[in-house]
Amino acid sequence: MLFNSYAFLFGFLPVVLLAYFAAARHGAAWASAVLATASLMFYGWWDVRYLPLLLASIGVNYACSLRIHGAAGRRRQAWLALAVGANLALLGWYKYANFFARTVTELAGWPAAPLDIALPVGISFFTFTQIAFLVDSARGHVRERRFMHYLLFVTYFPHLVAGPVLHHREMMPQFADPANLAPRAVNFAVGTSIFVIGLAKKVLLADSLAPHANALFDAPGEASLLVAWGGVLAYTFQLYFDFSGYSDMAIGLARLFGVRLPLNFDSPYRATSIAEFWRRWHMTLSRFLRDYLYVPLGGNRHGPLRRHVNLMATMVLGGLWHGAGWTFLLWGALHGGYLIVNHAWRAACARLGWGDGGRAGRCAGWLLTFGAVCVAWVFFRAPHVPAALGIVHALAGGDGVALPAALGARLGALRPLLESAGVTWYLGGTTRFVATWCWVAVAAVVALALPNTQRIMRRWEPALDARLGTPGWLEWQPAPRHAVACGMLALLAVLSLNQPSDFLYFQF
Amino acid sequence: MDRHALCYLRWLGATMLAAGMAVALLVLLIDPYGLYGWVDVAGFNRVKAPLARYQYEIKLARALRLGPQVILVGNSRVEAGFDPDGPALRGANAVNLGIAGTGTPTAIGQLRYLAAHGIRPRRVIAGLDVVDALTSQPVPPARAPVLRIPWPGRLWRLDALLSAASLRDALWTVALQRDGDGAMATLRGFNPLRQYGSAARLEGYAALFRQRAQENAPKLAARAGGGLDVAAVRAEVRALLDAAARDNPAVRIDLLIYPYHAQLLAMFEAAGLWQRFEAWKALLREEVAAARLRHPGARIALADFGVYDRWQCEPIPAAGSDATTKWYWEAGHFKAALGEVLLARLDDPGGGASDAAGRAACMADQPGLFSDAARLVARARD
Repeated sequence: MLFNSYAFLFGFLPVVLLAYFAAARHGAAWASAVLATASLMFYGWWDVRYLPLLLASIGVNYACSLRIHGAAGRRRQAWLALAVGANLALLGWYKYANFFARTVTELAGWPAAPLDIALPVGISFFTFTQIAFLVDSARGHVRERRFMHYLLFVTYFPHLVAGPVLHHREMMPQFADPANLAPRAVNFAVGTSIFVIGLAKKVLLADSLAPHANALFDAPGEASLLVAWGGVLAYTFQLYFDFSGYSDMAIGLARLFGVRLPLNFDSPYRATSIAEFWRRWHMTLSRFLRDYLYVPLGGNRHGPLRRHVNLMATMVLGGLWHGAGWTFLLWGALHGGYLIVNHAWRAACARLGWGDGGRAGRCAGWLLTFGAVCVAWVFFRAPHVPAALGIVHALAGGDGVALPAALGARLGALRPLLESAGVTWYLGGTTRFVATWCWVAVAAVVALALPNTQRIMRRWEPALDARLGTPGWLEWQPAPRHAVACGMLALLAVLSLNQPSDFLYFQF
Repeated sequence: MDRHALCYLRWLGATMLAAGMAVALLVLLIDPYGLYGWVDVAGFNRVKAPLARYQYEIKLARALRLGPQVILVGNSRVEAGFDPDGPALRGANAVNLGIAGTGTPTAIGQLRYLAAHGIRPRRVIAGLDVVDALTSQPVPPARAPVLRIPWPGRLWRLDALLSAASLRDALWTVALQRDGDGAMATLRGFNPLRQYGSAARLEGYAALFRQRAQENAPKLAARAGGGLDVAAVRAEVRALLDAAARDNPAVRIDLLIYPYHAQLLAMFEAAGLWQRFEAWKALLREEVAAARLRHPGARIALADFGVYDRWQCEPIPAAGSDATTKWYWEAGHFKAALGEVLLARLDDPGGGASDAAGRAACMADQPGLFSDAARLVARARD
């Protein structure tokens, strides 16, 4: 079921809210059971065949966590290794078996049909969530052990299929909190407003940008400089508003039940370095990779060289987590490389006493970071490596600069100047070109200049670990004028739901 | 605090309700799709925006409302080529159900749907496109044709009344009333391609012809090694004629082969498709003959405009020239002026020059047209 569908908004959600708070009158256990059942129904709506897989994964992991908890020393480590290995094997089979088989057959030159394995939606998220739980069980950090709360922690429908990646420490106490058993108007007002902002990001921005990104990536051909940049920027902002919108919706929905989810985005495209970008983009995944991969690999504890190796390994594996393919691997490797360069640059600046270069330095840092992120997104989105390389070639101006002829005919005296600078003209595609750049401009203003959701909701604890910052404009209050604005935005988004589209992160 | 929050929620809900009702009322009054007819005021909503969604459903709903006596079906060539309010059809209560990008199955669905709702036109004019019948792969001989005919549901009406797209189209409709160059369509379904007119003034007709030829070349080149879907052609034409004539025995049915401009015909030749074009025409003739036997009361005719005649060989203005054309927007789409000529010829077929003579005359007149077509197709094949 999609958050951005009439069935969810006007069917599933109201029914679940009513059932949850009705059950809560009989106690927390009933409320949790209703919510867990609803979450399983939510998941089963996608494809009921994968419901047993999810339940089996939860059952086995919970049993393993009890074994880990009850064991000590090497036995505990052995149980942990077995359980984590089983999770990785499950993920590996569903996510990487096809890729592995394809690669082997290509290298060996064997004719082979692809394996018929469909990726269960959300498997990456619920597997990572449970691995973190197992590791923390082995570290002795897990206190709450009620199965119903564990089931709810894993399946909780706002986050189940695309995150944020949750941590049991943050969630299980909230499920046990009696304060969340009664409906509260303030939670509904805050939750609804956050949800509406997320829905608008997805429906009004991401879905409007999608066709312009698809036009480039579905038929890369020989795109000229501005066409390539238009398509890449459209995807850059589409992905952000799609995923950030989903995360906001998840945070808003959870808040209706009184639960606060962790923040997942903090205006990442405003980052002035790649390290800062990763502190602001998909924050819960970054946290997971840091705590359960980078740090166990040794982090920065064994010198600069080892740190760089660990960084690269973490990012490459992070790339592969997003999808089984060479393009994702390259995307991860690019970001690993960016981070290594970033660390080296910072070290050099520190040694030379350069500081951050002031305003000009930050501007240059932003431009370089944003450009590098855009280039990396080409590999993330392209259907295969040759297509990605073709687009990068165009981004660098390798295929020249061309504009629609109809646009050229309207440029008057500017036209010969452009021609003398090497600009050529192509027939057709004027509407696409203009619309792409208009949408990119709108998206850029929203992403770069407007306050983000947590700033807008800063006074109302919008999410766990929210970075509240200083007061700014557009700050939300439960006032009629804000209700009217939110209501108009909600109506516009709801009226745009006639063709609900999947979230990009569902495929990861 | 809960008191403020409760008040906020009430305001939010009331805003959504009130704004939603306002949107629905606005769409009802402006009527961008011509579905309601409550208000029809020149300068406010008389000119309609071209349909970008629910074309099939909206055109049928309008037709049900208008109860037409003449129905035109086909793709964009019909939609842009025949004006039901033009001299030949004015007063005949004609509607143009042509929809861009659709094939014969859509026309069959339209005729069946209207027949099921009691519409019995005295005349049906149907355009047929050879490109729909050409395949890029050889056709297996025993392939069974499957005609999936869409049928309008009901939910689209709600979406056409209350959605962001309807609101946008309503506002666009109002803005369009004072825009002489904006894309529009008439209530009876004719789309005069006004945007082509402004593009032609800006860029010249040569650019329009060139652009479309560049788009067509790879499509035709891709079909060079393919075949002709004989079973599908037969099934579709048969179903089309039956849908028009069933329970309407005295109907007049005019099937017409589109008048492709010579540039496109030359590209057919260059791509090695001419033989299949001729075979397709022969199939149509056979099916028309068979349909005459099945429906003896009906008057069924096939008009072949897919030839090199004087209109089809209209000269393409040179690059950079601001000369205009009379008959064609570009090689695939003819203007309503030619539509009028074609309608007259349907009524009075007369005798035309032979295709060979027409081709020779065209070649003598515009030798560059043939060499250009061959070059474009050859480049697309590489």
